[in-house]
Amino acid sequence: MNYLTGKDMVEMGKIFVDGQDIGNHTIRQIRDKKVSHIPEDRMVDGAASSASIAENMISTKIDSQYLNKGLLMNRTAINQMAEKLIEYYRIKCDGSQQLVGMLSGGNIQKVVAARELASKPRLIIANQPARGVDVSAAEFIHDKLLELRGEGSATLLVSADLNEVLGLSDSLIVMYDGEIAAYFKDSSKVSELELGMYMLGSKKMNKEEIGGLMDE
Amino acid sequence: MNKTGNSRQFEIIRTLAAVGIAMAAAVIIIFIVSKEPVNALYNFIVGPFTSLRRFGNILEMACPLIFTSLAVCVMFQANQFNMIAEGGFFFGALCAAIAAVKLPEITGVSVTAALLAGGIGGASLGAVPGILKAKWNTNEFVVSLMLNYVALYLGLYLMNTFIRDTNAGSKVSLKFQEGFRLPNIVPGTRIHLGIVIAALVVILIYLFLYCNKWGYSLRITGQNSKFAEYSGINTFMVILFSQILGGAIAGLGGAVEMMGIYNRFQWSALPNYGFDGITVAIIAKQSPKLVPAAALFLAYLRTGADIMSRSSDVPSEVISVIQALVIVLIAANSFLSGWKHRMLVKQSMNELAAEGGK
Repeated sequence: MNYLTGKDMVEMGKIFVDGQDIGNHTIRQIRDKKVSHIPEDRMVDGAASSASIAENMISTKIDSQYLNKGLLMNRTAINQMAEKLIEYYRIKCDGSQQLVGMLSGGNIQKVVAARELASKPRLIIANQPARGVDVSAAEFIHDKLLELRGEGSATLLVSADLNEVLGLSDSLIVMYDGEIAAYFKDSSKVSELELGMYMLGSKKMNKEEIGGLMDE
Repeated sequence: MNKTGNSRQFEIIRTLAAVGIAMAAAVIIIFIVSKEPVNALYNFIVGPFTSLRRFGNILEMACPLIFTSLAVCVMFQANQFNMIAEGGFFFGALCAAIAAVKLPEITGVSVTAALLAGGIGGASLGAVPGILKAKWNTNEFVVSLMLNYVALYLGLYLMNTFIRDTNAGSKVSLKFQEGFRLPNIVPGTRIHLGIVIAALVVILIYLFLYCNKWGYSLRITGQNSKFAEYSGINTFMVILFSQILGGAIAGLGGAVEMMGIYNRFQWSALPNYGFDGITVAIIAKQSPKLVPAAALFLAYLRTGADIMSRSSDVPSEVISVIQALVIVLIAANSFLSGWKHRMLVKQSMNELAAEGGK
């Protein structure tokens, strides 16, 4: 995940987004390619808990024309955008100036999701997007991911929750011991039991079966 | 009243409580050590307001404190515990002094040039721990603390070599040229144009930190550098830049102090304004908006203590006690937190009750 999002530089192999190698791009450059990233741990990477909701929502787009007025930042635009996202993502709070650290886990995750998904990304890298949040928030985030998929955003979902994976994904890749162990083009035809076999490494697909992956 | 406003209100009450307790402790100490406590207290608390000159003393002492504490604010907000405000202030003052002795006198330009020299001097000093921290993750606290002494002795060497007045009895520089002095703005006091410059810098730094994307990046990096990095903010540059800017502000403060108060460079030790700047920044909760008030408060205490030590039997060191107590009480995060907790619970209960009533 660190390679995909630019946190670490790639030493071997190549990563392509829209046909361009992003292996040695910085995080900023990757984000400029409209790649969004919902991180695994919202309190470490995903949010600054002592900053306000509005401040957390603009962290990835501070260079945008819309939020700046000359040298200064456009406060009205920032607050308007934050209020709109709070309403749209149904974040429970006292307003856009409340500190993120005072929200519940589910609402913090919604702040993260709102920031990452609102910019109509080309590619969404969602690392356990609903980990440790309440059922309604999880469902809400899943709905948003599906909605964006319908609008043409590619989504790479990484999750330890099999129901999440099976319920959301179109196709599945199982990795075991650093290698791709299985590839299912249509996730609705896979059972949890079968998936489990590949995940534990007791079964592995051969090259031809996985080969379909490269045609995509 | 929402919870955010409430928590800000709480911080203000907490700061005032800390100041109040410290003042009470000072009063008790004065009563213990003094044979004429009432006279001492009168001079300490009312003394600074008894004449225009004394009141002027408060303002002129607040001026350097505003600069150094702004420098500290900028660096602390980026989570860089850099102590370079001290050395930066000293070195900035020295650079300005060299400019004021050596550069040709041109009306209008010369003062700006000397101020600029001070700023650049301070910035170059701040850059050292900044580069080391950003590139090799050295501890900026230790580096800057040591660097202060490098600045002191390098500064004294430069002064001795280039601008020393060989006719003077002590180690002082040549007199500054008249065109390099900051004009006095209130007759009868030593209040100089520097206080106006300080006010301008306060506004600029406030706008920078809270209304500019660079300042925003700086604050976010300070609050959670991993989050900043994840968001695509160049944390390397922020870490470096915050310390250069902090050094520059401190250096500018040194230059202003030098050209406003003195007519020749005569410091032979670090003037301690940088460390007092840290005190002020802590009282002001690292917010540029509150820095002038906090600086005036400390300057008031200092002036009062000075007057007290001159006109009674209490030494001026008493205010170190106050200063230490204020810092301890403000820095102690759990001070009054039980009270805050009860406030929050009560408020939530009220909200619930209000919703139930609908």
